[in-house]
Formats: sequence, structure tokens, C-alpha cells
Amino acid sequence: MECVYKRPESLSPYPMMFCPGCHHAILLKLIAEVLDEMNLREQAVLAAPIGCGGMTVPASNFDTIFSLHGRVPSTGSAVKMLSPESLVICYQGDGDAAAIGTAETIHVARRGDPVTVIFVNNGVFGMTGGQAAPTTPVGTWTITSKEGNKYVPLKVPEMIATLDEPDFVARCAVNNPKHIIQCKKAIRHAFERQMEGKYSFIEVVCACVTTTGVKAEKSPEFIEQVTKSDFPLGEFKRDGKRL
Amino acid sequence: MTKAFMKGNEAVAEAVIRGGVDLFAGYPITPSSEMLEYASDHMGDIDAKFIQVESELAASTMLSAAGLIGRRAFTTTSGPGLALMTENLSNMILSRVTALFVVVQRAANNITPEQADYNYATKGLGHNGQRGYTLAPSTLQEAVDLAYTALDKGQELECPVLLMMDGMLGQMEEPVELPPYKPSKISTKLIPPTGCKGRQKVDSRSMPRPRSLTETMEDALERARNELYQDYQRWVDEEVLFEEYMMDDAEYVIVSYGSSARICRDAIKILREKGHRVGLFRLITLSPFPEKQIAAFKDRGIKGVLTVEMAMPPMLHYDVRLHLDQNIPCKFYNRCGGNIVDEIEAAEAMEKMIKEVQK
Repeated sequence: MECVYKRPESLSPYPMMFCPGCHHAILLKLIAEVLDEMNLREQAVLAAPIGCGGMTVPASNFDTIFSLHGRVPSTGSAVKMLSPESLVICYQGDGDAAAIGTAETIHVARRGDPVTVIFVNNGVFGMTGGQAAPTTPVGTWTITSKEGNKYVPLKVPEMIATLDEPDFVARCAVNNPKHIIQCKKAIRHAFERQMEGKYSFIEVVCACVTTTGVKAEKSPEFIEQVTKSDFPLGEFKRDGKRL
Repeated sequence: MTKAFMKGNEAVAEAVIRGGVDLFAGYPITPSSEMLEYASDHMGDIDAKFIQVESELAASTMLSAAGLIGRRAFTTTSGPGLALMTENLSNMILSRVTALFVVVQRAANNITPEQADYNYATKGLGHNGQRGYTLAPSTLQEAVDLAYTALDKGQELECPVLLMMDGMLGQMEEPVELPPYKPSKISTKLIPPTGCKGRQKVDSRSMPRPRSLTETMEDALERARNELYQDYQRWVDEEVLFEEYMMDDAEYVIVSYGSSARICRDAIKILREKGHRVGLFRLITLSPFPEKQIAAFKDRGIKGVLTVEMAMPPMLHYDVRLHLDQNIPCKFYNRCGGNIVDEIEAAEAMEKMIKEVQK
């Protein structure tokens, strides 16, 4: 019989540690598929964050490197500097990239270090229990903003797109098949550009189905609404040019 | 060997470069900035990488990442910068990652020399209370010699190495003999996670993980902490470095380190001219601490000990007090705030103690 679908080789055969319905799992599978298709599994290094993103470590069937909270892009830059043949994936959550590690996020982009930052924006600090993040939309209920979040969220790709060095900056989502295909294309393009020595940044709008009060089955709808109001999808920079 | 007349910060940078290193990542802070400047000019001499980053947090992260892939990196900083770098230092110790941190100590928000980071560097780097391998030179030649081999030592012991200079050593100029260039080494004690070609995937070192299905996370961390403690006990036996000056017939001892110890040599000469049998015990490793040598003062018939350092409250003093026989009087003479210790004042403090003991 012909095999038409199987687990990507870049994904480890163990059950993932993510909550059922978590969008991290979809995203990591996309990364694994792209690595398989581009034959880059043996060069890939995933710089793993602190937070839910850290659970990518046992799920990846390629090398991973540890980093402290917020410092992922610096770790990735150092690895790329000392091992230029590696494909470096800086995998970050929103607490990591948009709160404690904002300086690293901005400065690695400013320098244009040839790494790919994949920024998972689920609007809350998922692992610590769903506290408000710098990416929580205004009016959203969280465990630390029960009256509704007061502050306007940080739009990281828009901010990164104002810099000169970044080559590819995009915002994607994985809430429906169309967005999943677009996201996979974006990841592929980012990896291709990294191999040509360019910096790329992809924000992926995800749902936390455990801490935000949004049920797994309602999460695609919820993300659809979020992407319409606060986080419009699309490319902000391509081939170094602002779109 | 090349002879040169160099500024302390530059001489140390040159020594590390000659010793073989792959990366310098740093952020400017007085009084250590010349090392950053020198590295920016000379890391290229050995085809190594230089990067000036946006914060001490990023610098120490890059050092940690270099260590995690088995490569050699160094940086330099001072008091407040060391505080920021500690975020990674505590994790590096627990993950057994090496890198060289040259700490040019300064007096809090003043930029003049002090030895105020002693407790910080020896009592526990960061939130885990673990210790690195901490060296304190007192001359530029010694700084060069220790810096040249510091990363070899770090790779052997699998821990961060701190070279504790101070503003005085960093800023002064002295003739030094520079050792020959030697190539950098990739650590053989780990598999660098830079791509899994031809092997199984590896995850870099991080917080200790269980080694079997029956070991819990708690047990894994406890095992790792116990192993680190046992290592430290072994260092106390095997890795301690110190220097004795006129100690053969000494009845009274000055215990000091770094640039304070250098000044105390003159205090010893002043006291010897007055007929007092005084010697100098100078620490080279602050961690591991020469606790056995200090404890052995009793058997050597030492009648009194004076500690001299540029810090207040005293720091080295309490470590000496802890290991010294409790019947031996132990006093301190300290200056701080950027004021350098003075050999005449040190000699007076010692004479005062000698009189008290002889009463």
C-alpha cells in the first residue's frame, strides 16, 4: 500500500506535552514538515524558550538549545555566529519575546543576525496560568485583569518592520486550513532566506485553550475575531522591502 | 614570549585571545571598557567573533550559548553589570557550562577600585547559591598567566570562571610577558547541539533532568546539587591556589588578595624593618577558598591575623575568621568607597594587634 501521510521525521515519536487543542502543536508540526521538505533536519537547532514553548524540546526530533526567559534570540545569534552552517530557529512565546525579552527581540532584528524568530502570540502567559501579557487585547478578561485588560497590545511585527535589516516579517495564524497553508509557506520562505544569511520574523497568532476561557472547539472562531481586530494577518516586509 | 608595556584591561584581553577563544560578547562599563575596545580590535587576529550587544543580559546569554555548544567565550564587566550577568551565571553553574567573566570590580555607583564583589562571586552566583571557579590576580603578569589558562580550567572543571580584577589592576600599566598563541578547543565533554547529522538528536544541557524513569525531577536536581557540592569539596583539596611571602618564620600574618595584597607586601617590609616577624598569605583562588591552609595557621604557631581588603563590610575577613582557629586573634583593616588601602596604615593596624597580643 502507498503511504500518503505520516509523522514528519523532524517530529519525535513521543506524545506532545501541549494541552489538547493547543496551537503550539500545529505550529511545531508545520516547522517539522518544512524541515523535512527542505532536507534541513540535520542542520536545524531550535533555541527553546521558558514557558509553554519549552515543550518543543522533547517534541522536536532535531537539536535544541536551552535559553533563559526572554534571551532566545541572543542564544540563537551566538549559535549562528559560531556555527554558521546551522539553521537556527528562535522559538518564543509572548512573555518571552514581547515582555522580558523585548530588547533581545529588537536588537537581534536591528543587527539582522541570520536567524528565524518564530513568535507564538497567544495573548497570555500560558504556562504560569493565564496572566495578562503585553499582547493581550484591550478589554480581555485574564486572571490578572478581571475588569478587562486596559493596555493596548504590543504589535511586534509592525515594530520590527520599521527596521532596515529584517528581510521577511509576517503575521500568520493556524486556526483554519487556509491560514495553516499560508503559515507553512511563510516558515519555508523564512528558512530559505536564513540560508541566504537573512533575518526573518514570523508572529503566529495562537489560542491558549486552557487559561483564557476559550474552549478548544471555539478557538478557531476566537482567533478569526482577534486577527480581524487587533492582529491583522499578512506580510509586513518581504525581501527587505516594506509592504 | 612577547614583552609589552600594557594597560591591565588590554593585557588580560590579549592573554585570553592568545589562550584560544571563539567569541567575545560584551557591553561597556567603566572601569572595564578598554577590554571591550581591545577585543573589538584584536578578536579578528585569531579569526574569532566579537559582538557588542544591547545589555549584560544578552552578553551572558551569548557566553552561555557558546558554552552549551562546547565553544569558548569571554566577557568583561563590573559590579552592576555582574549583577545582570548573574541571571545566566546561576544557570550556567547548574548546567555545567563554562565561559570566562573578567570582573573589574568597582565601588558601587562610583567607578573607582574596590573589592566589593567578593561575597557575590564566592558565596553563590545567583539564585541557586552555587559557586564558580574564582581567581584573583595581584599583578598584571599574574592576571595574564591566569587569563591565558582560565578557559582550559573552565572546560576541565565544567563551570564558569571569574577573574576578579579591580579598577586599580584594570587601569594601571605594567610590563608583561605575553605567552604564545594557542588554538581554541571544543569541549569533548558534551555533544554540541548544532545539527544532528549522522547521530541522534541532542538537547543542550539545561537544568538537571531525570536519568531514569524512576528518578523524579526533584531527585535529579538534588543529585546535581550534591554532585556540585562534592566537586567543590574536591576543589578545596586539589584546585586551591595561594602565595606565601615571608611566611617561613612568621608569627603574625596578613591575609589579603588582589591589589590589596600587592600593597601589603610593602606593609610586611615596613614591619620586618621594625623587627616584627610578619608574613603575607595571599589568596589566588577565592573560590575554592584555601580553608585548610588557613586552618593550619594554628599548627604553624601563628599568633595573630590581620585581613586587608577594599570592602566594607568586611567580606574576606569573615571567611578567614570562619576557618581560623578561634583562639587566634583576627582583626581587619579595610578601606572602601574607592579609597585604596595604604601600606603604612596596614602596618599600624598590625602593630596595634601585635601589642594587644603581647600584653
